Amino acid sequence: MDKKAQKEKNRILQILLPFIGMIFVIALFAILTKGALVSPKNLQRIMTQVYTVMIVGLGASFIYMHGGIDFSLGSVLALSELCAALLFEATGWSWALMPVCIIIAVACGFLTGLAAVQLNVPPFIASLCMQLAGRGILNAVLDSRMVSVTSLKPPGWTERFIVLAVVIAVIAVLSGMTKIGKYNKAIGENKFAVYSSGVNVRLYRILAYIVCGCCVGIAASFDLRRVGVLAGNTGLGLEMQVLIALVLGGLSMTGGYVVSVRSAIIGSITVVVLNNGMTMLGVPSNYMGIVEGIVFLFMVLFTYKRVRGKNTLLPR
Amino acid sequence: MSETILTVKGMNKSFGPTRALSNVDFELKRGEVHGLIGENGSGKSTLTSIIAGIQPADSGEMRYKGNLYDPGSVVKAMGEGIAMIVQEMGTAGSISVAENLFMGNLSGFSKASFVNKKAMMETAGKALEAVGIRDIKAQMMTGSLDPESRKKVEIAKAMMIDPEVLIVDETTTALSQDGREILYSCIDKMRSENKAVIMISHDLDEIMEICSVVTVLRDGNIIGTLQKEEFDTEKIKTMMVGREIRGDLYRSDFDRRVSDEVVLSARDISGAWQISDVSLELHKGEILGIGGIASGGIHELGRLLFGIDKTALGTVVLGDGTKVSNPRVAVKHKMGYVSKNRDEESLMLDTTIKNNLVLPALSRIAKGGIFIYGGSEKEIASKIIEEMSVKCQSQDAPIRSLSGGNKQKVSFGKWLGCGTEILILDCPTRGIDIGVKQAMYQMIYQLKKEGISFILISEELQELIGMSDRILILKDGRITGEYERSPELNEHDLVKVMV
Amino acid sequence: MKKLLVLILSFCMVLSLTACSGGGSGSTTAQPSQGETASEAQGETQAAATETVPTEVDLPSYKIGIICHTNSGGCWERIYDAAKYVADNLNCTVGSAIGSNAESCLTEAENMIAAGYDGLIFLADGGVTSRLIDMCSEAGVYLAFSGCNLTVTEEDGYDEFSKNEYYCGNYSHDEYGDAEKCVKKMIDNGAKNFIIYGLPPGISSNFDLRVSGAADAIKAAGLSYNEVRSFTLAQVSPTIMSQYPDTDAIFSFVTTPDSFNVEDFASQYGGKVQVSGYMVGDVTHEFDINFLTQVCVGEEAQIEMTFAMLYNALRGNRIADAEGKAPVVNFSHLWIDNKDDWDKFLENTTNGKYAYDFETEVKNWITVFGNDVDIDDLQEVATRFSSHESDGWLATR
Repeated sequence: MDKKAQKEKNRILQILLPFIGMIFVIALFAILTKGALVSPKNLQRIMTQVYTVMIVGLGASFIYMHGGIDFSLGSVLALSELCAALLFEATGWSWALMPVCIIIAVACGFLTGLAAVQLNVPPFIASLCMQLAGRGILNAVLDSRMVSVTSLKPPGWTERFIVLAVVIAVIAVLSGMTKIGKYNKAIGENKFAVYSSGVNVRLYRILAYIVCGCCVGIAASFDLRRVGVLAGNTGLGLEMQVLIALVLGGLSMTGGYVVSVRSAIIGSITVVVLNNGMTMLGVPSNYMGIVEGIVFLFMVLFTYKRVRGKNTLLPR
Repeated sequence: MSETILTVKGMNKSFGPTRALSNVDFELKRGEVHGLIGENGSGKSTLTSIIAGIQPADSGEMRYKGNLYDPGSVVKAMGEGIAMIVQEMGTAGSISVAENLFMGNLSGFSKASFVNKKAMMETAGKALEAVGIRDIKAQMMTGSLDPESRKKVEIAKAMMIDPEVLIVDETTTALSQDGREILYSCIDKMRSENKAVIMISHDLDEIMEICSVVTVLRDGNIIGTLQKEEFDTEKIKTMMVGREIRGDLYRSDFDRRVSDEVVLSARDISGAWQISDVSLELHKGEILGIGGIASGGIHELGRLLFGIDKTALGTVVLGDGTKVSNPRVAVKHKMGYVSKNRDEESLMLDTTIKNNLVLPALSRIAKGGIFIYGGSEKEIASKIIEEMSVKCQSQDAPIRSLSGGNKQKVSFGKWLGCGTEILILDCPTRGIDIGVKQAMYQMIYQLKKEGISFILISEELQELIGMSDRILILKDGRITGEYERSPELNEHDLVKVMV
Repeated sequence: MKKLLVLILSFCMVLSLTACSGGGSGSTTAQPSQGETASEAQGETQAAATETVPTEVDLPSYKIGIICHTNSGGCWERIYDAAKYVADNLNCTVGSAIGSNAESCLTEAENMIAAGYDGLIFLADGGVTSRLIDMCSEAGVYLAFSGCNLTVTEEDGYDEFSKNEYYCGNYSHDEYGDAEKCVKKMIDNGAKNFIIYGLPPGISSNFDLRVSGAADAIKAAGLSYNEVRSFTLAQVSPTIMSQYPDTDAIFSFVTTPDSFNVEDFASQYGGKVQVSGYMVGDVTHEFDINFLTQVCVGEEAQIEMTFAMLYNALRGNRIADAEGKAPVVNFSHLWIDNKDDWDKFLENTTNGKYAYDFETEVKNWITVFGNDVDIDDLQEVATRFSSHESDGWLATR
């Protein structure tokens, strides 16, 4: 069947395309910047900028896997940084930063998940509520000042590398080899089918939010130590950055088995290189938006699963 | 001697690499009710849709009333007097019944691009009455009608143009008693007026009863044509499948002894849809059939028994006393459920066969409750594919690539991988051709012998009579009859308490 | 069809990228813009300035970056123009980037350092001062803060990092004090019922400090005020007077003419209600029709001094005090409250493109031209800028 062969080709392309896109973007900018893009110093900087988006993206992909969406990532990041920073201000315990960030982020994720799953609030609204509430609490507590932890040295390269490698490994295993991953993907494909196969759909959806929370917490602790301060606008727009990165990485907005760890990795690299490269070339920030928009639209066209309707009147 | 009204010569049609029709010759005579029968993919729908102008042939010649016939579109074919009632949904939900009836034909009512609604409604009303439809009005919104009523509208639409050739494609599956009567009377009318009917059906009994001649197709080829005198079930089945269907379609035994052990029981349950005071007991190794018309509540009962819907009153309890409160509890206690809406409710269509097959079994094969190794998934999937003879390229092929029958095998088979002991089947053989049907019945019987208990919900009485140890009939949500397996049991006894 | 779309889109992307990077004559490019005086409508003063750059002083070309929290609005343009003015005279180039929050500030600084900038000026709200200083000193890049009122001096470790040899000082204005001054002037002129007008709190500490300064001054005089703060000032401004009919002074801490229907207001209330404005641009007309009574200028002045100090350090003469700490120079804004002064200001600064003239003023602060500069000198210059005395900056121009 011609259509079937075409669909197969589409599937393969869907998997390869983000990867090709990433290579293309890197090559393009490497050439345009006459190699400056790929100098060791610049690569290091790309890594630092990619860090937060990639780690949060790895976690958020679990939510997107089951067809959910999360708009609260930035606020939760900031909120968890706030608690950690305040604790540090009060006690000076630097070892507590990551655990506190993780605990707070997981708690927020859990609440969002609870609203989405138990109360049946559409995930997009539930996470929007968390975003607004989180940002509000943040601003109220800060009251236009900043909290500073600049006495801490920014995280070093080895540390970043090890943590990232561990996170990628854990997420890959969770996603591909455990019930959390498999059930969430299945839920994204057909929630009812999973439900009637006897799976506790609610539990696994909430688990997705918890996994995401852990990742947000880890990313938050690194972000806090790198920047050194926490302000009312910390983390603003992170959820959109993550979404863009995931889509550029080939994530399908409807969820399912197509979603994978590589979406987060490829996508965040692509989007940061895109930004970084354009800055190096001196592209005005308005144009950056246009270019990003085009690329984004492009990827969505290719990866969005068209809803198969019962539309054919053509008997066979 | 009746004259020929339509001939097809040397017709070919391919969809990409797949050959749907291969050098097909076909002749339709006036006064005939000509049945077309064949397995899924045999080409019967393709042939008739080409005749009805829905799609063109790749090559070949058609002659209608002696002249070369190449309609080019449905509207043109209808203009010539050839109308088709399609297998799928043939009406648009967002417009009224009248608009559906006149779709493509509004020129008769429009003056200066305004449609004369009143005239349209009147004519539509008459068209509905003409075929005996009393409960549907022309101004009703088509989307608000149930599938059967929508199919009736399609019948009216076809008959409205006073066709010379009427093609009916698998229509009776969507119709209940009332709808079938309407259809049969139309067919009768056509025959008595010396016009012709082509009827496609899976139901061999129906074809043999209604048709005066039957043509069998297999894999896009015409295998043969039989006149009514030559009708023979075994022969036709063999022609369809290409090999002998040995033995019975259903079970051959009448041994209705079952264990006394009750594995599942419902006590005075009432649910949201008219189900009231239903009590039943399923014994180990028993096939308990549940029959009735679609609106009698049989499908809802299945959902209640599996815990998908909550009972308003009463409880569904397993043999050990556990309440079946939701599917999770049910599956944990080795229950399974095959939904009648396979594509929407049982399968994940956009992924692989393997992922579908292993879904219920995942919690069982997880090592340490957490890790699922690809190897164990592969193992289970292979086993099921083998046991159920699922025809596929590989377990990693997309499930969309399977035919309907094989998809059904997946929907059913996935419960074999996780030790299910109580299986609720809702219309398990709907839309499946005879070869696969037989295989499924055999499998069910085999499993029954091994101690698996079944609840078989079906709208096909023959199936229930053929397979069940006991049959319960549901009417308006209540049990109106209980019958034990016996050779004397026949449809009429059941129909009496069904309607 | 899809393949065609792919090709077209990729082509567009590459085209737009090469166009944007190659052309680069916008204000935010990183490309050198040496000697492009022809493209600027500067007039003779500028041409004269470049022509008279003494050839005996060697002027290597440095790249200076400015990181600001926004690039919209006239304020930014004037700052950039002023910086460019000084840069052109010193054979340097100016690039810019937006650092809207602490994180992007750091990121842009990193980017600029990697792109080979020699010096950075930060206008954005810091809070990450010590990080920036660590980063810059590690890379051997000089940095200075301008207009960064946010407590650079109150940050942890200020004592230490102010001695860092790459840190060249904080040239900020006293927003609080400036606002006080303005309000006091308004009260002297007879104002009794105030409105404080502008954007909602939390956007910028500069704004918040202006509001506190004004509010405190009003309260200290025993008077009261109402606040009119909104994100959509243009919709709110027409209703102010009807809401508070007794108002006779509007202390606005934003770019007032942008959100007012100037003609309407002036025709009704000109001469009866005092109105202030910050970062206003050319308001000759507004003065003419009596719409504005006090405007504050001076953003350009700060940046010129900051640039000069950065340059000094680049040339090996970092200005510092006895302990080696870089200066904190308090620049008050200059409040202009009459048309004559305004005209004079415009005329002397070539339509407000810069404040200090290079030849006669800025050059005096730069050591390579044979000058000796110390912190007291600088502070004195800064203080004079806002002074209305006879030796004040405007008076002596």
